[in-house]
Amino acid sequence: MRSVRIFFQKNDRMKYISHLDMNRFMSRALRLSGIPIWYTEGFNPHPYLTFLLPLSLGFESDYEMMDIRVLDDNFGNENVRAALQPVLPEYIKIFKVAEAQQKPGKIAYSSYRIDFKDLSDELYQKLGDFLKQEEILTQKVGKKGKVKELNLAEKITDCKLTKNGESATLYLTLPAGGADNVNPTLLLKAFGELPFYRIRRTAVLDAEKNLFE
Amino acid sequence: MTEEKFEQLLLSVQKPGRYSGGEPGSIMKDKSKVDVRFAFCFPDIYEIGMSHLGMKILYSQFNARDDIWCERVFAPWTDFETVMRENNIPLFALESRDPLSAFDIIGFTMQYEMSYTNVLNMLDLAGIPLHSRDRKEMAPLVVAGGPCVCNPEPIADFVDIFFLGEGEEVDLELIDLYKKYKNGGNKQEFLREAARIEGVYVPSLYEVSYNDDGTVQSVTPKGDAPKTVKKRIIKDLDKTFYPKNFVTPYIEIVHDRAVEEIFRGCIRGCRFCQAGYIYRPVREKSVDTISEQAHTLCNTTGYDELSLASLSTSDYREIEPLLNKLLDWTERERVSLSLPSLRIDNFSEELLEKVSSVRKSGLTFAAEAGTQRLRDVINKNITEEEILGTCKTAFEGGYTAVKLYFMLGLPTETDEDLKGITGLAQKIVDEYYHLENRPKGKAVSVTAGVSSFVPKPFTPFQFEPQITAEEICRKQQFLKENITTKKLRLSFHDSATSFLEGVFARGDRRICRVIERAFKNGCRLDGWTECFLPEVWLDAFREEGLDPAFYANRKREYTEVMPWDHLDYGVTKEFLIRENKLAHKAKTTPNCRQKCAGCGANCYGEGVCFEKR
Ligand code: SF4
Repeated sequence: MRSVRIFFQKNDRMKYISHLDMNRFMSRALRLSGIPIWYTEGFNPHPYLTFLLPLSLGFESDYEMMDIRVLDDNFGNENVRAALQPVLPEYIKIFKVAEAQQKPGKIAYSSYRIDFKDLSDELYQKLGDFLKQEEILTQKVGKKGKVKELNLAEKITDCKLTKNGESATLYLTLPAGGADNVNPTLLLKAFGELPFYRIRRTAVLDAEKNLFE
Repeated sequence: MTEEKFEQLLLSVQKPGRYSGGEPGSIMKDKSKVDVRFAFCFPDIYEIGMSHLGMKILYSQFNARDDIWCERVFAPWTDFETVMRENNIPLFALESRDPLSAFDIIGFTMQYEMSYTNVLNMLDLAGIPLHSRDRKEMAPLVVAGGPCVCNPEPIADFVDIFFLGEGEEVDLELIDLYKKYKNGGNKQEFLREAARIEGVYVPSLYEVSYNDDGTVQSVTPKGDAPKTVKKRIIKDLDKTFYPKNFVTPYIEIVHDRAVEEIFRGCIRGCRFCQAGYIYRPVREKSVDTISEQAHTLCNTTGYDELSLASLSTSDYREIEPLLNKLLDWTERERVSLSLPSLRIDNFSEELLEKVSSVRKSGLTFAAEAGTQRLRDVINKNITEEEILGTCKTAFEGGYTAVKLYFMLGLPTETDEDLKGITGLAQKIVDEYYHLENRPKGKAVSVTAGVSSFVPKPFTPFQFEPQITAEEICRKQQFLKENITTKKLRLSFHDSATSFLEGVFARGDRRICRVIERAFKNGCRLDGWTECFLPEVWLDAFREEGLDPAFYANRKREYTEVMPWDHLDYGVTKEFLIRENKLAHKAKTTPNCRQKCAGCGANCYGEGVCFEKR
């Protein structure tokens, strides 16, 4: 038995599907694929699968990861991809199947790309200034429902805002995984009213800001 | 509306997955290449509608034809309805996202009475005139089927055509006729011709007149519409269409699993149960067909749970061979098997072990009434000894939870019968504690779900008065006060809902006005406690000058013309009267396999009526 990590994109209509729902859906897809997978033991055995970093409802992603266990060592990574991709909707694209390199606990950051359609010059300017502040205070509800003050400015790294005609794009990296997880919508909410935007996870990184693999 | 705007709005509601579509198994077609676009509407939210087998069957069957594209439509939850109305988004189908008004035929499946306002809301959200008479063109044609249409009169003003009975054949015959009229045909002519198809009821072709006391005097066909309309059934279930694939939802729904229908109808004849009469006669699928179809379904959907669907599942004649045949591959392929309506008394221990529904949910008994006398009245043949005996075996096997189902407000019911409900629970608890080898260190728990009896058309109790909402409350209170053990938990149905259900079930055409008014005053999703507005309903009755008690709480004479008497579901009124009289004498009627009771359903020339006894 070996651990296999499947890397995929989550596009388009799949953004309406929550993390929990993805679980149920992937479990069915894995059964359909015919991959010799390991089932959990116990009362109600089901295919073992785990998503490494939950994605918020409404986000698309270039970098989603799911771990499964393949029973047959001769069933290679290419076989996994060839078996699974055809039973997935067009909105999920597998781009890599590989041995897991790092433990899930090593996830430290997630990078995002936020696309604005029709961002006025004025708002663009305002957003740029907003991001340059030393303090961006917001409140975050913790695990036990406790509200915490949070300075987002300390959390943002690799921040870049660009404009191209009417549209603008914001790139940034935020802590992810573990207790320090920061959702980019916190930042956008702290800013206030914004025109339509789409959020896309572009990468998941480790503590050294290397691509998590 | 731009794609972006739509996306933004979807993301502003609680569960966008209800409206986003694109699920595996959903069918896309090129709309320019089909002749008929059919919007299959389930008048409740996604999670409920997507769990419904009938919709899955017809969706696949329609789409198997190249000239038809059938899409799915559900009622929006209140949050999305608000968004839709504020942004002028018309109700759309999940596949193409086209508004309902772009469709040729809009078909509703009517599974329960409390969904009537949802039909109006869905038409209204699509900007389609509510009244059949205001829709002069061929498109969109509004049709409806399902169990509730055995008395369709309360929604007769809104629907052009009702399908009585099973839809697989008659729906397609109607669609074929529609194709002939589609381009420039005259709707009135079309309706008149449609009425000649067996199983098609065109309410606008019937004139209803009333007596001074408010009862129906007569229902008269106009022109050459048939005097009575007879329901359709599928004669051979082995040969009829069954889906090879389901739309598998992303979001969690009520029943998310592969479902295989094993027979239609029920041999039992419980006198309160409408399904037991309107689906007669019993017709079975063969073991081989079932196993093959179920296997295909599991293979195409990826489901790891298979449920067998029917009324009273253990009445399937070859249930043991069937389960063995299914277990052959389900065990190997890790598919768990569940049987929803199972009488466990006639099974071997070994087989029981393997069927997961029993494993998971524990023991359930639909005892329905608390005393043997009352169980004889309703023709529910289950005895206290059977219940206690099965409980004993199950306790010995390690079970500790028992679930019971009862009804209150049954004809001839007295407080003694109610005491029998709590009494039975007490006896089960005693049985447990008298057992030497009961599960160690565990307590027993008995839960009893007590619903309120609602008299339904085409049952022997169609003549009976329903008890008032106040009386329901009193009986519920009485039961609570009679609990003698802490191990018993009771749960009840809402009395106002049962009352309204009773009105709709036996309502006549005048009820249409009430439903429309209640809808306009804000009623919808009435089956959901958090949305149900009983006061608004009562106002609607007052404003329309109709007394709901006249419909719910009044006893009918055998000679009274029922609003549905011109519809023929196989069972005759004479039979229902006979059964009603037997009920009042607490005399039981044997089931179809023991002895034919001469209900009339043998007119279809099929099924249990012609089995060797
Ligand atoms: S005709 Fe007889 S056997 Fe057939 S459904 Fe009726 S009672 Fe049952």
